[in-house]
Amino acid sequence: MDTEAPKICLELRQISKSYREQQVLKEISFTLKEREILGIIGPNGAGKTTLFNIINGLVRPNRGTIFFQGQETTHWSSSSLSRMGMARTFQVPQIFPEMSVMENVLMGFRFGPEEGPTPAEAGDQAGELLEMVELADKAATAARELSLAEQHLLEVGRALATRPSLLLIDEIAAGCSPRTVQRLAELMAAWRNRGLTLLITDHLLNLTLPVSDRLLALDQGEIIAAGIPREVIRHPEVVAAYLGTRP
Amino acid sequence: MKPGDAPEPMLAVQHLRVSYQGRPVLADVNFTLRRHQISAFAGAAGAGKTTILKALAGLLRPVAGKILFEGEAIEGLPAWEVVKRGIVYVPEGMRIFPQMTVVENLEVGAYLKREGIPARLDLVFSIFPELQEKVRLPAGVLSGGQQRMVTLARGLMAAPRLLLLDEPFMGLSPKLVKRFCDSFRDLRQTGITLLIAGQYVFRVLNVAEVAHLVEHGQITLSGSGPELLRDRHLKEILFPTGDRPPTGDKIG
Repeated sequence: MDTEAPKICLELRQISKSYREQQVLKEISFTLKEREILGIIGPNGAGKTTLFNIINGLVRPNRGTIFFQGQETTHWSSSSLSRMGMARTFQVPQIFPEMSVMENVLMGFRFGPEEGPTPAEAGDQAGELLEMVELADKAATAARELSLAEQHLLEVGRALATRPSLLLIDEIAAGCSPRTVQRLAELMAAWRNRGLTLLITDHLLNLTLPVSDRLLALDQGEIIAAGIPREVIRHPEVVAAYLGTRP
Repeated sequence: MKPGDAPEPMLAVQHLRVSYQGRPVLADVNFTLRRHQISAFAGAAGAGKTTILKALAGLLRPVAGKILFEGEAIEGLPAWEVVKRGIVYVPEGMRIFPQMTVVENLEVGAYLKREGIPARLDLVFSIFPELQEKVRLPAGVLSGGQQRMVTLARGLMAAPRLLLLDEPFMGLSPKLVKRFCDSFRDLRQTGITLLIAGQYVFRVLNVAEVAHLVEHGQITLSGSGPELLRDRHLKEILFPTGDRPPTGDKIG
């Protein structure tokens, strides 16, 4: 029986970005296969969020190209990328503070690559998403009243409501309890098994290491190591720049 | 005080109760801090750690109980009076002034103690050398983790006698967490007493002389930090996957 090679979900070629004289990303190239979980690690200021912002259309690179689902998307807007199936979360959650938890998720159904659920279906589907991120009992709560960890989970739930094929998750573990972190790791593996591709960055290695199929380590805008997690975190440059001590 | 007597605590909290809109959040909290100690509050999200720190900082008025700082009752004092007495609270998150430069943000921290600013800048740059390279940049263009460094450094710029840190490591790389923790003993030499609260305070528990587990608005366990790290109940709360702390934070 022939097995089909996994398709490439995302490809970056020589992506560079400077702000005035400061170069924050230098010729970043990598591929991300469908149903892969790629973790990005690196010291504070290495360029991780800038990389996410470029992939997601919020910031334009100075050089290089990006391909998403085989189409060049280097200069696409984030709304166009959403319609193609890319979603993301933010280090500071960008929830709608005055809307309820349920309303935030229902808003997610309005965006994405195809028609969302009918009004009759939306309530049930939103309820399932909220159960998944353990916010079902706070469905009627105004989003601004949630804790930081809960806001992160709500943002993920809303992102999933857009039916993405690629989800970028930026530092979701901030404020989460160890149990919630464990739950997130389980959820990410489950989402991947259901066909989602994930690009994640987080300083909490208890989340990043177990779920990632591969790691990329950035430092000062460059890739200093790439490969399977247990090898990357033992790489001398990663230890020196990021960990401080050998794991 | 007679020879052989234990020194008076720097801080004594007695039967502290705090409520939010009538809902009890802290119930009968009692603990003391000695000068130059490193102390820690560990506990899950929502346990009440931040509420304790905010009550100490004068940001929340207790409904009952006493907070004695060097023998003076300070419960109910407004926050600016608490800061004048040398208690500085650094909340969680990245609450910088984005339009101000990094050095301006730091200088704001020294608002009440203008003398000795150059020496304090030297201290914060020794802990966070990354900030020295960015002193003239608006703080808003820094990465999230770098902004967190600015908030921690700004707290040090206030020349605190008692420094309250709430989730200080959130958003920091493992190397930076290690460096910051390694600086705690040096900070103590400068006369600062540290009280650190958070979910991920494993490194701090290694060096804390006194630590408390907070659950549902009460202190349920107290001892030295290393003793708490060996407690089975604490491990169940903070290490749900087993006995080892998270990667990058080892015991000892």
